Amino acid sequence: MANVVVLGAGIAGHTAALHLRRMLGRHHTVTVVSPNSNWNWIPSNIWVGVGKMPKTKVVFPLAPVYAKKGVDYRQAKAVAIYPQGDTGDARGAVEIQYTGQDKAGQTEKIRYDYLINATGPKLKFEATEGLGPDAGNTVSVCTADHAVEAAEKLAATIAKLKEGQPQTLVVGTGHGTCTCEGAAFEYTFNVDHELREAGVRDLATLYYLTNEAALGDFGVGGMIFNQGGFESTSELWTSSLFRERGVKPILGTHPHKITSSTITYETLDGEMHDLDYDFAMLLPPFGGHPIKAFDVEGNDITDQVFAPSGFMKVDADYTPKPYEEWRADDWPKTYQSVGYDNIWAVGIAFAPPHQISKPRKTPNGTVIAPAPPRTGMPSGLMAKIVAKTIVDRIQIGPKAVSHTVSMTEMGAVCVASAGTGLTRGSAAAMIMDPVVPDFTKYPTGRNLATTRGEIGLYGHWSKLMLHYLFIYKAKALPGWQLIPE
Amino acid sequence: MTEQNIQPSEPKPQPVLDLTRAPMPNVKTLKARYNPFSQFGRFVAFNYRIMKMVVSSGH
Repeated sequence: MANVVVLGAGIAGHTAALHLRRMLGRHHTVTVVSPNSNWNWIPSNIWVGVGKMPKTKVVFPLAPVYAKKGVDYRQAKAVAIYPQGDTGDARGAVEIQYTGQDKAGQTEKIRYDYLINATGPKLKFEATEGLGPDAGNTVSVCTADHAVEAAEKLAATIAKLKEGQPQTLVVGTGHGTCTCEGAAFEYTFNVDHELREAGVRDLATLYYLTNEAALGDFGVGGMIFNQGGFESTSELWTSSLFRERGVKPILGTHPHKITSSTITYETLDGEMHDLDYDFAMLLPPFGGHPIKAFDVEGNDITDQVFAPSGFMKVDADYTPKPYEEWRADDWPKTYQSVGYDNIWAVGIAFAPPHQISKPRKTPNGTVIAPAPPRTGMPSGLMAKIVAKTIVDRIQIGPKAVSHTVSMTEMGAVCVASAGTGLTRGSAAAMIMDPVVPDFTKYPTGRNLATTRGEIGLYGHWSKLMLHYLFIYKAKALPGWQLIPE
Repeated sequence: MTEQNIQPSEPKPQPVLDLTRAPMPNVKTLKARYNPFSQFGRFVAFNYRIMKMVVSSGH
């Protein structure tokens, strides 16, 4: 009998847990540790954030799904890992602290034979003074509750516009090292869509404040497409959309301080600016969750297991090197932890070797470098291959070869909503193949036969279809495993 | 980066990206983006590409 513990129940953790349960006999245990009681389809938080979808449509309780599937569920957060075991037991252990199930605050040490770290991001609003819902200045769409608040504040802003009061709205990234620019992009155009539907667009000034050095970068260094016999770029394509919708982009920014009315930010040229605003949705930078690691004698070995960012070190090449020397081989393939062959980190929880976009610094030394996205499709895929590796280790033996998948090999789909409605909605639909460009394989870094970017009504249909498909899959309803990650 | 289109409601100028050289979609393109028939074809083609990528990469 083997005990597999999965930390986190987001896209990566939940996918891993469901596949493990499906592939392993019931005499093995699968335990999920997550501080959240609900599963959240985060991509649709955008629609919650503009009031077009209720929160109940993007979340569902995890406990009934796990009860039905035979997964042991602990509503708790991991606070420490003992990868070498401790003096009482040689098996690895995780110390957890309950956040629910009538045990809030209680701690417990659970043993594992195999451990998957899929804890997702810690939302680091504190990285920028005054950023985020807790500071009371800007809103966020990172969680369903944040999105509900964003919708309320947006509605209040639209009400003021309807009274004839001009309003300035800002959407974007709240720090120079943010990721998920695609989410900021789609919230921008959903806000634009709502303003137009309300008939108040002419009174609103809408800014897109981003850490990207160029439009269409999306933290992946932009894309080159083959369109109409020409090589086109995501920069050209997104610029066209910004011009058409009258959204004002401000690029290469790092907000330093946010008050209730002003965003003080630095641009790549080192200049400081003040932007007065009435409504702002700014994403936070991500970090790893503060999980400690200890050796068998209780000595702190956190720095051996985790990178300074808090993400777990895996089989990537972390040797510091300049952008020009970055290679596809730098990226991990097995997601196995450094030094421990029974621990893996997937999704946002693994430490990437470096960014994908070129990192930049202002003359003042401020780093403005979009972090690499590793959510959604890549997260699910990593989780599935790690689940397969664990199943092989259990069924074949410890020498079983690891399953592999690299972000330099896997493609991903990004459908960025630009407004809702079955006949008036639209979305920017993108396929990037692979996620991390590989210039040794493709002259443009990506496969031109599959890499695509288009905008239209069908993009909205696609995003809506993905919404229902992935919630169906996450609920583990009949045939869920047939839906690809 | 250049400043442009400063409106009276903006008290402080901002380094807004100059988009005057960005291609502006014409009426035909904008209409095509909402034409349900052509969009259905795009929908099928887009999802076919996704499935092809998924199958070829062994997802």
